Amino acid sequence: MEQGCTGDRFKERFVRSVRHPLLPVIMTGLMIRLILMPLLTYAYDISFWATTIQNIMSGDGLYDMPGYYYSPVWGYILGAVGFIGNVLLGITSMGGFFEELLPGIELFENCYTSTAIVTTIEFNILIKVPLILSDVLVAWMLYSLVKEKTGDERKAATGAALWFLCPIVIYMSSIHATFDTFSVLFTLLSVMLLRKEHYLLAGMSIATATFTKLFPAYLIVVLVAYTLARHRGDRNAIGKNIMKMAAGALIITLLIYAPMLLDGTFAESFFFITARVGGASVPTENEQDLFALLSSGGMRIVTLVQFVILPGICYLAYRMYTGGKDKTEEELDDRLLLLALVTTTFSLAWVPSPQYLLIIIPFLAYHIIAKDCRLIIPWVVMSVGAVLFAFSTSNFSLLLSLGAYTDIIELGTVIFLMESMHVPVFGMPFQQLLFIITGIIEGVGIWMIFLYIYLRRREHVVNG
Amino acid sequence: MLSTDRRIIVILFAMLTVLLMIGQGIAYWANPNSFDSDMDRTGDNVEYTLSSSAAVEYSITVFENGTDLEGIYVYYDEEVASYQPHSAQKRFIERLMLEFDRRNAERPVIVDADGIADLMTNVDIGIIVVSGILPPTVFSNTDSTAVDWVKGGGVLYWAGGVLDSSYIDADGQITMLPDPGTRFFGFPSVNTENERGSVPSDDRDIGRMLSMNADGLYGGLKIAIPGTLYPGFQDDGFSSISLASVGNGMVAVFGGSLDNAVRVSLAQTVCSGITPDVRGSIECVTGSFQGSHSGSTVVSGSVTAYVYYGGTHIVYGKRFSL
Repeated sequence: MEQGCTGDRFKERFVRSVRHPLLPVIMTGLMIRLILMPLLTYAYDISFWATTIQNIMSGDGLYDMPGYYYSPVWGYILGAVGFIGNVLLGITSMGGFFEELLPGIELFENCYTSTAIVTTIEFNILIKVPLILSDVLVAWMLYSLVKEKTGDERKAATGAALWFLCPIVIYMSSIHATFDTFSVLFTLLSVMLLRKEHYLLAGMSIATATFTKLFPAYLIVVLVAYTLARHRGDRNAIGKNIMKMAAGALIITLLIYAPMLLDGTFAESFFFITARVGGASVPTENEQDLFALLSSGGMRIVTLVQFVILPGICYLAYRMYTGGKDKTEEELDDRLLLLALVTTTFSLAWVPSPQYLLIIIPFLAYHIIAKDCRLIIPWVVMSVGAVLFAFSTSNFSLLLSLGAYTDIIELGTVIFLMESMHVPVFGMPFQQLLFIITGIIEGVGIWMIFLYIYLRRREHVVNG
Repeated sequence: MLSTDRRIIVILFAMLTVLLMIGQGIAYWANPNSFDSDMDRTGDNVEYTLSSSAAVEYSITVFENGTDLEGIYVYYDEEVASYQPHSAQKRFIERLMLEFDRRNAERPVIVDADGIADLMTNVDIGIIVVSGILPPTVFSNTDSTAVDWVKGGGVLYWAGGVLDSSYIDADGQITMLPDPGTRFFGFPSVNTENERGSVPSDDRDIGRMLSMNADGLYGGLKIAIPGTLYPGFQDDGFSSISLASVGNGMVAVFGGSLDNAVRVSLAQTVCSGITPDVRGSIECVTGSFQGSHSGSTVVSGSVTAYVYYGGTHIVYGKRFSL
């Protein structure tokens, strides 16, 4: 009798799972990713992940040898993934050196496709799997968030779909193999933990997000303002909770950076920032080249606009605090999520490399579903623009692994296609022309978010 | 949100933190990877045993006439002018040391300008120079100590500049010399153009066996110098990696800047012990394994065997004199 009850409950739970509105979203997204991940891979970035794993295997950590230039979080994930791949799964080769690619190295030098090391397909899959898992977790969190705010499972699933089926999100995990999704995961976790008053863990999570990919750092001001607004008038609670957040951030910082503090490679772990800021002040040899210009002149601008972005975000956070007077918890949550969208968009309004945009997507998706469906227009423009922008950089180098390790396409054909991107059109290489056009599309998408937020606010004012 | 969701979020965060700490443990505290190799010769039969906790590609290269040096030294002197910035040299040398560790080779001893002069009384050693210029204690327009040392049997490993193109004068200033290479090879023989090679050189097979992939041609040697091994790439008549016999000694020249490919190629050259005289005797066995792998091969005479794991991504190496 009891067995029958358990069986029924099991069956009921299974049926409910199968009918869960999130399931088709996840299945569709996974299917697209499973098809893409063995076929297309951005060879340049992933060759550095192979070098990082090589250095870890040799016992040289993350920074003793060149190859890894980011803060340690992704490096640690690579440590675990490398162990699974090389020791548990028995993946023999991470990649190989292909002499056929040498003649094009100089041609591709400044456009991030110049590598003669091509990673194997099994290695590409190995690296992409954790990124895809992170995509799934973000989708689930977004689902939970929208469901909580709207009480509607279908809307919640649509919100999750706006992340999980977003072209740029799919591209970054299953093609580019870059780790921004982990930064998004920790950012979203920090927002959710904060709303549930887990201040210590929220502090730990936002610090981890920041040490994954820097940009969530802008949100720290917003999270602090939210805490201040939520406990307005209660100095003890404010002090205690801010201290908890700070303690959380400090604990995880010490945990993450312990090896670097002990072996003296702390400075190297900020190479990602220092190299770019350094590159902003040192003129390059060939300022005529678009990519050289972007890495020097462009970075100079990005560095300078920080003097606008940072005070701007602080002002918005201050407005959130002052404007949060007499607001309910629900309304404060809304303000937090709106400010998270505005802050992430504002901090990337300088039209960055497309992978950085991932941090905007969950907050944008939430607002499309819960607040203003017209925001779908910037979602489409920005994400499609970003995919094209990403393709303009990586272009046919995406086929290198396929060309090097399968009979589907000849490596020579891939090289020919890569070279064809450098045919002059209107006085500049086609690749650079595409880079400009797609960058503009991405930028328009980003700026449209502001436009729609402004329109919505105006409507509110007009309607009283 | 349901309280279950709340619990799940906390658990999720805890799990992610644990994952990161496991990754950190693997990267820093308890590397689970272990590599080893052993070779034993009985008569002309050599038995080898390889072991690795990770799945790896392996390569065993066996050759005659490998280097037989009493010690390896690397020149570095902050007090003396150099073509390469001292910071770049220092960083390169620090990493080169790690490459030696990876290959189970004794680290080169760092020597200054005076030390190098003292060492050049002994021809049974190898000296690595990555400053792009020889110190005034052993080389100038009137001092040919370094050239004589090489001709007498010394081994010079050179990277990071144009060999024999300049010297440091009495005022400590860098002064240019005409016809680079003439003092070592008897004729102008070094490239001064910044370019890269993409055509496999004559002895590229040996470069492939040892994963030596440096392709920079600035400072590279002319091709077709008699008694020279060219395991790299070439273009416009110059080679990216050249191992040249000079008198009784050898000069190994690596073109290009002090980049990763040069560091790895240099480490492979020094740690394997190859010389221009290996041509004709070199053989290579490759494959892949996890756990342990053993085999045997037949050799004759005095040979060197060099084992390394990882293919392009070298994680381990070891040299055996058999």
